[in-house]
Amino acid sequence: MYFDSLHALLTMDGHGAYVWLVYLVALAIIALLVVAPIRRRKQVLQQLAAQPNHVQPVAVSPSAKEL
Amino acid sequence: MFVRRIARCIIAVAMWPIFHKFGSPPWLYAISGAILRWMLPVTLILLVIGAVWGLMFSPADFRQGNSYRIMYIHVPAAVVALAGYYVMALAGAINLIWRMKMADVAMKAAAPVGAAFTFLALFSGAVWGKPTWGAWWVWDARVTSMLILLFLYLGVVALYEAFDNKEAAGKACAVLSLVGMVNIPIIYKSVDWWYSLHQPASIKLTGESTIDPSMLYPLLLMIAAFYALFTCCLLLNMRVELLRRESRTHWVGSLAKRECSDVL
Repeated sequence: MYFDSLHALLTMDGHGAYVWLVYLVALAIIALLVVAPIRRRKQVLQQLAAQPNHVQPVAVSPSAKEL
Repeated sequence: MFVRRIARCIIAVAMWPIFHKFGSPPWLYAISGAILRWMLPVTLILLVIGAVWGLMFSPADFRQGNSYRIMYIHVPAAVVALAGYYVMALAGAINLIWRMKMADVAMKAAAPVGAAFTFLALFSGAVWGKPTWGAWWVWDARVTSMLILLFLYLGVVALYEAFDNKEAAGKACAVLSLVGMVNIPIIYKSVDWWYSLHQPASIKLTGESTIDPSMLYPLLLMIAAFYALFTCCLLLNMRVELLRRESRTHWVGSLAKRECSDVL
């Protein structure tokens, strides 16, 4: 490891606050980017499963048919 | 003229099977699910390895000290923000030219992801600027053109929501993203064309890179990981959009029943 101690890693000779802020924000954005669509996919499927009357079976999906 | 027509026919025939498959929502949904199953964990592991390497093991910069470690987030985010714009504009063009619905899905899925990466590049740049340039924000050519990129991404997201007719929305967004392409070479060349605080590129495809291998390898790893992350997010968003658009079809109906049978 480049740093001698945990304290040195956290402070980074005065630059610690800047560096760690960027990494924490990056972590938050990445987590949001990955988790949000996974949760939305679940929600969409649950909504569809809860309203079976609204699902009108079509043999071939319309956009597949077009092509 | 005649040659061009023949060439167009050949391209059409060669591309047809590919277009046909990519045009099939159930196929796209299934294959993206299979890809994500291994790609998402691998991407997250690469990101952790790259971050730990950049934060703890690479040496400090001789001039900037430890603040340069922001580079391992800043550069990959900026690189992929630009690459993502190509993806979005290309998908928009395919939708305009061939009326391919799945290209429209890809374009809509790319916009928020690209906006997030652009924001991350701008934010990390601002935080890096404070100890290095002495200011959070500078109206520099590179910074300003990246801010315009963020507005272009957000513009596509907003424009899509502004239309009730989603087909018209797709066309308008495709035109906007294609017109916005003019900004991409400006971003690349901004550090050469204008007097800029922003440093020029340290990694060059041709010629000697001006960065030490001990810093280059973790940076390359992070760039690869961010590319993979963009791909994962694009596919994740596309899958949600596919389900929404195909919600009345049989395959989505049975999928919803299968996946939610234990919940309900």
